Formats: sequence, C-alpha cells, structure tokens
Amino acid sequence: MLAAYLAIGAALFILGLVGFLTRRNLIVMFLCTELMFQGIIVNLVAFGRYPLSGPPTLHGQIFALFLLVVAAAEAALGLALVVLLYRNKGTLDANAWTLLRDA
Amino acid sequence: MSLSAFGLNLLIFLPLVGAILVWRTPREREDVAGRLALWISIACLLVAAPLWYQSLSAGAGTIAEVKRAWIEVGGRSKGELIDGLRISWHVALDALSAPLMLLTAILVPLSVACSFTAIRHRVNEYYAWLLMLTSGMFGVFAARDLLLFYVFFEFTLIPLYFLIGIWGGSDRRYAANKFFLFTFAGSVLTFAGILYLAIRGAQLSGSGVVDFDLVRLSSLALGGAGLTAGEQSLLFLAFFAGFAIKVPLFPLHTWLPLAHTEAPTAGSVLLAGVLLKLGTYGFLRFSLPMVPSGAMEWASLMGVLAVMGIIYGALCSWVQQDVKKLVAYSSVSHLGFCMLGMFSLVDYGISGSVLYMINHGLSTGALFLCVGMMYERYHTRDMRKLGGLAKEMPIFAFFLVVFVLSSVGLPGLNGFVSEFTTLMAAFNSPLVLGPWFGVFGATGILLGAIYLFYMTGSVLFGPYKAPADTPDLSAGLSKDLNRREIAILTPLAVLCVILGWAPRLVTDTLDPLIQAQVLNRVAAARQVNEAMAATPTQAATLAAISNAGAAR
Amino acid sequence: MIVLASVPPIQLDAHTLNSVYATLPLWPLFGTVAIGLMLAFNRAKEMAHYAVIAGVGAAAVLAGGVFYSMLNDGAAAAHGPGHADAARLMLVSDPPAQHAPADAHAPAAAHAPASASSAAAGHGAHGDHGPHILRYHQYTAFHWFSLGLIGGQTRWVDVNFFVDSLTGVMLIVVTFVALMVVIYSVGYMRDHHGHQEEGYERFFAWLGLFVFSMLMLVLAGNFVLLYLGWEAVGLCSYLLIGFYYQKPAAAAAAKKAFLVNRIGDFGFALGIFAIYHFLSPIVQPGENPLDYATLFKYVDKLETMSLWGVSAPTLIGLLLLCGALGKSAQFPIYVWLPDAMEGPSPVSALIHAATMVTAGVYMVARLGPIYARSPEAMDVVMWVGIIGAVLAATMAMAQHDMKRILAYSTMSQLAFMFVALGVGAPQAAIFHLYTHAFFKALLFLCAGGVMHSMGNIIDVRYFSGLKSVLPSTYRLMFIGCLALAGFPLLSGFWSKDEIVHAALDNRPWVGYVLLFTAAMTAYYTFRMFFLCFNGPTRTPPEAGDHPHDSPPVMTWPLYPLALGAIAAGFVGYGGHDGFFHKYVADSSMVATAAHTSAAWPIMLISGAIAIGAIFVAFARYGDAPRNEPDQQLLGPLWNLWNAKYLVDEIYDAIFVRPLRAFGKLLFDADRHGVDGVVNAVGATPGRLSSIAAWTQRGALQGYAVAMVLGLGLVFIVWRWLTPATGL
Repeated sequence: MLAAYLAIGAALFILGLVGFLTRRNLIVMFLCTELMFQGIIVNLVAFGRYPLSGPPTLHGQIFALFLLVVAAAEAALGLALVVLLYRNKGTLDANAWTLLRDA
Repeated sequence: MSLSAFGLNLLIFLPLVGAILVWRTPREREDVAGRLALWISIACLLVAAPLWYQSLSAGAGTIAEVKRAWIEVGGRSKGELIDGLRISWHVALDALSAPLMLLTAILVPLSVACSFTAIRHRVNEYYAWLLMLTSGMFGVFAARDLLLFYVFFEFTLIPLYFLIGIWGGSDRRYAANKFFLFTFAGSVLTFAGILYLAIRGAQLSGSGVVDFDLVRLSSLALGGAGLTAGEQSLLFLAFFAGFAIKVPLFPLHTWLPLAHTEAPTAGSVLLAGVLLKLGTYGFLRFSLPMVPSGAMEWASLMGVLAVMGIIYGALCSWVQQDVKKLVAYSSVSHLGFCMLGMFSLVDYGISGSVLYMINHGLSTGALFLCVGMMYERYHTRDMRKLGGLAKEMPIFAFFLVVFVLSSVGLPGLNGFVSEFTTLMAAFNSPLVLGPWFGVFGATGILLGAIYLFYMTGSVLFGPYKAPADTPDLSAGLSKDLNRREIAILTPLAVLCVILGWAPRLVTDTLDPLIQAQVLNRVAAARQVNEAMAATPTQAATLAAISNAGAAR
Repeated sequence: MIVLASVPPIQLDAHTLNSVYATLPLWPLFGTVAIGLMLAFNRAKEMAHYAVIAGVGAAAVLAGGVFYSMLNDGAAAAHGPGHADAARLMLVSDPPAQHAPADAHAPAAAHAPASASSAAAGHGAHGDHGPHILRYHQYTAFHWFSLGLIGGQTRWVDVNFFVDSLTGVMLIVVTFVALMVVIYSVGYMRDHHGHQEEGYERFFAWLGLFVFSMLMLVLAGNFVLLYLGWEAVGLCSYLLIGFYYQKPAAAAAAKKAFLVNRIGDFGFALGIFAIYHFLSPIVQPGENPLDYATLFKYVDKLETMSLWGVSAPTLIGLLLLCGALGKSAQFPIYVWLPDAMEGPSPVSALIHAATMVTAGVYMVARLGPIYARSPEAMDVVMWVGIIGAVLAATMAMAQHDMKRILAYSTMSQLAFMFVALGVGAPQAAIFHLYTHAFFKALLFLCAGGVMHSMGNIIDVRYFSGLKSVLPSTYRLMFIGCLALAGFPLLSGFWSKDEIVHAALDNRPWVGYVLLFTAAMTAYYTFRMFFLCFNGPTRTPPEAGDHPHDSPPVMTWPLYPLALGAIAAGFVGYGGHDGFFHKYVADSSMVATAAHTSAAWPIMLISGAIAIGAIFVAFARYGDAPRNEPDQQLLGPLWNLWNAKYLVDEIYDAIFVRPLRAFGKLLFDADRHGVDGVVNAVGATPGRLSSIAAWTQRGALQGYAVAMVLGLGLVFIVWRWLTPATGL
C-alpha cells in the first residue's frame, strides 16, 4: 500500500513543482507551493501508517496536523505579501521583481 | 571586592551607562549631551587617577583584580567545570596598564571638550559613541583574559567606525571602511592565535577545560616544556597580524593617514593617543611574555620594520601639504621608535617604549587638538593656504610650538627621555638588535625635526596668509584660542613638562614588572633554545627549571 | 694618566654651598617663568626685563662664587698632587711606577680598578710634571631616569653638575656677557621713541631661557644633561633668530639653524650611545658611564676597544665632534651661522658670538681625556679648524653686511680654537674663547648700535663716515676691532698668539696658515670699520634726519666689555705659568702639545702682521671708497667669496632636494604601491564574487530551477556514494 500513497504524494509534489517553475502568476505559484506541501503531508501520513519497521504510530499524522497549521499561517502571510507586491507594481507577474539581481 | 577592584569595574561600565544616558538626552537641547559626556568622562578621570596613584606601589604585581566566571560551557562535576570552555571576566590593574589607563582618562575629557563647537549635528549620538569607545579602551587595558581582551580589542572598532563614518571629513565612508576592514582582518588572525594558544594550553596542562586566562596561559606556554619554538614562532606571527596593523608598523600603516585625516578631531586624538597603543600594548602584554622564543626569533625583523617605519614615515610626512596628514604620518615614524625600543629586549628600552606610548599620546594627541582648533577657524589644513598664524593667534602658536618640540624629542620635554632610551637600547641591545639599528633609528632625530619644523615654519611664521572669509568666528570662537581651548591644551602642556623631568612617574614602577614579565621569560626561553641546540636531552630539564623561575 | 679628585669647597659646609650653587642655572629661568606669569595674567608686562636682569645677575654672582671656589682649589693644587687633604677623594689612581702616589691617595687607590695607563706618555708637557690631576665638585640634584638594574643597583641618569676650573671660566664668560647683553637689550628692543617693540616680553623670556640652557650645558655632569643643554640652547637660538617671525628670511634662517644643528646632534647622540656601548659592560654597579666622572675614570679602558674597525676613542671623538661642528658652526655644517644674523643684534652678540657657538669648543676641551687618546680624531679637529678658518676669513673679506662679516669672523675665530684643540692645546682654545667672548660681543653690540641708529640698515654700502654721527659707538667699535685684529697687548692678541704658538711648535705649516689667516682677519675687520666710520658722512633715508648715538642703557654695558677686550688677555700673561693656565691646569682639559715657554719673536711677528694688515686696509679702504677696490683687484675670486662659495646652493642641490624628492617618491609609493597592494588584496574577494554574482539573475523562478537542479544533483551524488538500501 505504501508505494501507492507515495506515488500519489510524489505526483502532487511534482505537479506543484512543475507549476511553480512554469507559471508566472504569483498567486498560481503560491498555490503550487501549497500543492507541494500536500504531497509531503501525504508522504508523512503514509509513513506513519506503514512504517518501514515496527508497528504503525500516530507520529506521521501529528506531524501532518502541525504542518497544516504552519501552512495556514504561511498562506495568510504569503497572500498578504502578494497583495502588497501587487499594490506596488500593479501586476502579478513574477518577472517584474528582480531586485536580487547583482547590479 | 575591594574598593580599587570596584573602581576598575566602574571605569569600564561607567562610560557605557553614560553612553546610554547621553544618547537619551533630549535632541532639542544639544548642549546637554556634551556637558553630560564631559562630566562622565571627568568622573572616569577621578576614578582612574587614584587607581594610578595606587599602582605606583604595585611593583611587579597587580593592585586590583576582579575574576568572575563569565562564559562557562561544558561538563561539570560538583559544580566545577571539568571539560569545555571557560571565559572569565578577569580584569586587573598593574604598573603597565595603569599609566595607559590614566592617559586614556586624561585624553577623553579633552576630546569631549574639543568637540563642543566642532560637532553640530547628531550631537548626542556622537558623545554616546565617544563614551562607548572610552569603555572599550579601559576594557582592553584592564582585561586579563585573552578572549575578554579580544572582545574589547574589537569592540573599540565599532564606535570609531561610526565616529569616522558619520562625523568625518569628505572621504569619511571610504576611510571608515578601510580602517575597519584593515584592522579587523588582522585581528582575525590574532583570534586564531588566541584560540590555538588556549587549546594548546589545555592540552599541555592536561585539563579538559579550554581556559583563556592570561595568567594561566603565560605560565604554561613557556619554553621547551610548553610550546615548541616552531609553535611560538607561528603564534608570534598570528599576534603580529593584529597588533602590527594596529600600531601601525610599516608596511601595514596605510589605513592610518586616511583614518586620521578623515576622523573628527576627537577621533584622531583618541586614535593616535590611545588606540594605536593597543597594538604596542598587545605586543608587550601578550607577544613578549607568552611567546618569548618567537619574539626573540622575530625581534630583528621587527627592528628592521621599526627603523623603516621611522625613516619612511618621516619622509612621507615631510612632503605632506595637509597638516593633519603630516601629523598622521609622524605617528608612523614615532611608533617606530616605540617598537624599536621594545624589541631591543633591553630593560630600559622596554620601559622607554612604554614611556614613549604615553608621550606620543600626549604630544601627538595635543597636535591633533591644535590642528582641529586651527581647522575650525580657517576651514583648511593646507599649509600652502596658511601662513603667519603666530601673528593672529599667539597663544595657539605657543602651544603648537611646545607640542612640536615635545614631538621632536627636545630634552626637558617629555619626548626626549623615551626617544633617547629607545634609541640607546637599540644601539646597545646585545641579543637581537645592534649599533646599526641605533644609527638608522637615530636619523629620526633629524628627520623628525625636519618635517615638524617645516610645518611650524609654514603655518605659524612668515607673512599672514589665510583663505578668504576666514577666520570663521561663529559658534563662539575667538580669533585666538578661547578659554575652553586653553583649558584643553594647558594640562597636556603641563604634563609634557612634568614627564620631561620626572619620567620616573611612569618608569619606576614599570621596571620590576618588565623584569618579571618580559625579560626573565625571554632569558629563560633563550636558555632553553640554547640548550636545545646543544643537547636536546637536557633541554627538558632546563625548561622545567626556568619555567619555575619565570613563574615565580 | 688621569687622576680624578673630587674636592669639597674649603670654607663653607659642602652641602649648603653646593645647594646654593646648584640653583645657579635656575635664576634666569625664574626670570622667564616670571615673564610667563606676567603675560598670562596681563600684569606689569613693561617690567619684563627686570625679571631677567635680576635672574642673570643672580646667576652671575653665583658664577663668581664658583669661580672663586675653584680658584682656591687651584691654590691648593699649587702644592702639587702630594698635598694631603683629608677630604680629597682619589677616584682613580694607578700611576706608572715612577710616579708612585703620595700616601694620602693610597687608600682610595686600593679599590680602584687596575688600569694600564699608556696615555700618560701622550700627555707631553703635563706628563713630565706627573699625573694629570682633575679636581672637581659634583652635585647631584635628583635622579632623572633609570637605565635599568645593573648588579642589583639602579643605573641612574642624574641631573648632576660637574664643576671644575673649566666650568668656572665658562660660567664667568656666559653670565658676564649675558648680563651685559640683557641690559643692552632694554634699550635695543625699543623704537626711536622709547616704546617697547612688539614681542618685547617674549624676547626677554627667551633670553632668560637661553641663559638657563647655556648654564645647564656648561654645568652638566653627564652626557644626557649636556645634550639637554645642547638642544635647549639650539631651541632658544631658533626662537630668537626667528624673533621677527613675520619676515620670511628670519623664519627660514631660524629653521635652517635648528635643522643644520640637528644634523650635528644626530652624530652627537650616536657618540653618546657609543660611549655607553663601550663602557656599559665594564663599569661598577651604581656607576653610569654617561657621567663625566665615570667616563674619565675608565677612559684608559677605551683604548683597547673598537667598533666597526674604528678604535673607541676615535669613534666617540668623531661622533661627538659632529655635534660640536654643528653648534660651533664649523666646516662643513657652518651654513646656518651667517643666516642666523637675521636675529636681533643682542642675540647675535650673546648666542652667535660669545656663548652658544663656543659650546662645541667647550665640549671638545671638556672631553680632553678622550681626544688625547685618539690622534686621528685630533687630526680631524685640526683639519676642520684650518679649513674653517681660511674659508670663513675669505668669505668675510667680500661681504657688505656688517653683521655677516662679524659672523664669518666668529666662525673663523672658532676655527682657530678648533685648531688649538686639534694640535693639543685646549687651554689656548679656552683662553681664546674667553677673550673672544668680550670683544666679539662688543663688536656685535656696536654693530647693533649702528643698525639701531641707521634705521635697521646694516649694509656698509648705504652709509659711511659715521665717526662724527656716532662718536661713542665709533670709539668702542675701534677697541673691539683692534682686539679682534690681534693688535698687540689687547686681549685677542694674547690668545691668538698662544694658538699660533702652539701650532707652530707642533706643526709649523699650520702655524703659518694661521698667521696668514690672522692677517686676513685684521684686514677684513678694518675694511668693515673704515667703510662704516671713515670717509664722507652718508646715512640712509631710513635713519631719519638726525641719527644719533645709542641711549645710555645701550652704551654703558659696552664699557665693561670694552675693558675686557682691552685687558682680559693679561690673565694669560706668562704662558703656562700665568694665572689663566694655572687656574685651568687641574680641569679635564688634557694638553698633548709639546710646550715651549713664551716666545717673544713670535709675538713680535704676529703683532707686526696685525698692524701691517691694518695699514693695508687703511691704504685701500681708509676713505671708505664706494667702488670696492678688492673686487677690482681680485675679480671672480672676490665674487666667489661674495657668493659664499655657493655652498648653500650646492647643499641644496645635493642634499635637500634629493631627500625631498625621495620623500615624494616614497609618498607616491605609499599611495600607489603599498596602499595599492593592500587595496588589491581587499578587492580580490569582490572580483571573485562578481563572477559568481553573474549567475544571480534576480528572477524568482530561476532560483527555483537552480534549487531543483541542485537537489537533484545532491540526490544523485548521495545515491552514487551510498550503497543501495532496501528501498
């Protein structure tokens, strides 16, 4: 069973990753990172239920809950930042922001 | 804690607390910050003076000592640290640090007072940084823990960085950055040396605790039984990196003229008067006692660099048009004398070298003060644009001539005794230097007179000459020096005369200390090295004996 | 062989008397301090001169006392070295067998170090009379600084005074001339209306400081204190030459004087170091080789030592001589003295004629025991003297400025003294120093009087025939000129004759050169005199309508000096049996010259030469011709003399300019070379990182791609490095 859950988790993660790398819209990119999160959470829960050795534990699920809280907080903060960025330049295009470029 | 130990701590913390108070004074009342800073620095002087007086009877020992655990990390057994790291708040006062602390305590109120009219913006921050710097300087001279010393040593950089960078001249940013990076780069190597020394100290003593205490380390790391000659040689170079840049020793001096020229007057005074001495003090407090064999090995090179510095600094000084830059280059030359005396490894040479630190602090500090007072009125330091000021400013001329004479080592003023003893020590140093060092060093007698008399000749004498619209007599300045400025320069002039006739105020208590802390160790290291060269098998025994002798 | 004897004064309790005498140099300093207080509190400034006159006067009285006490010692010495005086301490006594010491000296001799005194033979005349006995008082005021611990005892450099009969002579000369000059200055430093010049107080303050420094120099009991006096008189010279500091020439001359002197002081300092180098290892704990007394005690040991292949006495002698050359304005570093005439005339009289410039002669005489042990150093001293005497005399022949003529004559007369020192007759040198002080101070003060009356014009081309305008200056100057010219029976005659005599006895050709120079001296002195006072009366417009003689306060001090110029030489009457030579016989001066008794033929010859030269001068310049007959006669040679052999220009071209150019070069190297390397080191990380920074494009997704690729790379590497697990 583990392999199937891992496959779903990997698929979600890859989808998110590809979306993050290819899309230019900041909100879409942000959603893609959420998708990657979900892929990882699936992994955690799966490993908790089907550990490589020993009896199953609740550790994975506890960790998943913890991550959901972090993700929620992060979403609030991240979306607020996106709104600020939009106000600043009037666009959601990620390429409009290249401040880290050297000179 | 005895009263004097309390005083010692007070010297470090009072300016720090004062800095916060000064910083918080109301911005609209600008004069309050200056006055408060002045009173705090005078309070420091009132604490430092009796401490110095006590140190006159210190002999080779200390008169005030505080040792508290500060940072202790590692395993404990029954509350005692058994392995890990121990950094202690170990401060003490002896005959070497006391005169330097008194010098600091004297120069700080003067440099505060000289800023009253010169600094017109961000006033309270300025005095706050000045007091922070004071705290750091006291800390350096008091620290007896290597890491604590290092912390203070680096701590002094920060206030000065801001003092130069915010209140400096036109090129202040570049000067501040250069000053900071240059000195910091050197001291990082010193830090590596300190770490190595402490770890080796722990190994050699068989203890698991890496202890940075100076007293412990200097008694452990001696001679053949402790650090090998090779290690000492490398450690000396590591210390050299930090201290020689600070001194500054040729050819590591290039930050100095720039920093001096750009710094505000008070910054220059403290930089020349005290901060350069951190380097020479470091050599004397750490390099010589802790790695005596390394010091012996490199002493001749140090002598060569010192002599080159004397000549090079003097010649560069001679061709300057900017009076302040001229005085800055003269520091390079003067500190060459100081290093020459120290690395003669002769008793009167080393005490002359310490005396030189004090004298240079007084006379060069005073010269910077004079230049600042002139600049405030004429807004230029270019010798080509000024002339004949003696006519307009006779009091200023009198003081400038006095300090110039003290700087050229005129007998009867303070510079002479130290210049004479350092040069004679170099000439007569039987072990490391020799007559030729004395000969080349003594050219400084002539060259020093050349550049300083060129300067006085063109600034003070001849027909009166000044840029248009000057002197600027705003902000309560008068044509000649006003009472405040006379009050700033008079104590320095008086001290110049006193130390000219009574250098023993400084050197008498110093002699036993130097004998015990430096010369005995050097002699012991030499014995071990010689024995090692002759019969390696007996060397260990001899090392043990001489260790015991030096530790006493 | 030298025997040192420390003699307590005879009449008074030694300690009390010493303490009183020890205040001697301080009195003029009190005057200076008093003026400083007057200025600081802005009170009683117009009284400034009284403070210094009182101080110098007090010093003069004490100097008289010191002179008298050494006179008594001299009387005691007349009884010979065997005279038993219980209080006399013999510090070193190891005479050759044939000069076994009298019993009184034996106890001290026991604890003196054994020394082979091979120099005894070198002492010539005095060697015949037995060991050279040096009697001195020593007074230690306080310990100045330490030179470390030697054998459990601190080796102190003291502030101590060493007084022997040589000191006595010098003190009299210095305080007497100084007192006259200070009184004279009260009148000189005023304008025609009697108002004090600007800087009046400053002038007297520096004069007081100078007298203090000069007395310290003379009284110093060790080399460090000697160096102190040496530098301090140089400083006062600097301050006083530059008294009219707004005049560029004065400011430049002051600087030049100080710096040229510092060249000499460089050698002087090395000489001190060398003394310490040689003697430090061998002296007893508690003794300092820099003390004269200790040096003289161990001086015999120097003969076997050497450094850099030069014997110790020669090395020390030559290095110290550098200092003497600078201070006494001798070849090749005399160039500051003529320029120093920019200072006020009283300064020229006191510092640049009578006292400070004689310091070099004094020092070489004082260190007789060292020079006596180095024929090479003595030869150098002699050569310097010969070259300087001729050079200065020729330059003095072709000058127009009265004060410069006098300055060159000073240099020439000092060179005479050096010749005397060089041929081993230091007593003759000091005798000439003593007489020269009177007549040269007189001449300078008279020249000052002329200058004062002529509205600060001193060039002889601008005035003549002042005989009727300034009658008393004329008379006084005539006396001074006669003395300088060596007119028979005046003071200069006796002393100059003695030098010529000593030279003739030892190196006849030197004596002939000196006789020739003496003729030139008489000639140029009277050329100046006639140009100034003879001929038709002309005065420059600056002098005003009615130029007149100086006020009494400027005239009266000249009479004692004139009296000295006439009669001071008689103390030397009788040669080595005369008063002067007996008086200084037990000083530290060591005569090595062969000595013959007074020779009337030589006196007659030199007297005739002086008178002849004066007549030649009268024939050529008696009516103050304005066309400079000598220039007509000598042409280019005269012009070369007039241009001072172009020495200033040559020095400038071969020393000053190259050194300054070197300084510029170093500074350029400092900015671009040394600092360039430092900056390059600092810039290296920046350059390297700018390559890496190129990869930072700023696009968010670019970073993300890099991260993913990096992760992939890490994963691949990890799998490659670790063996496959169960996964």
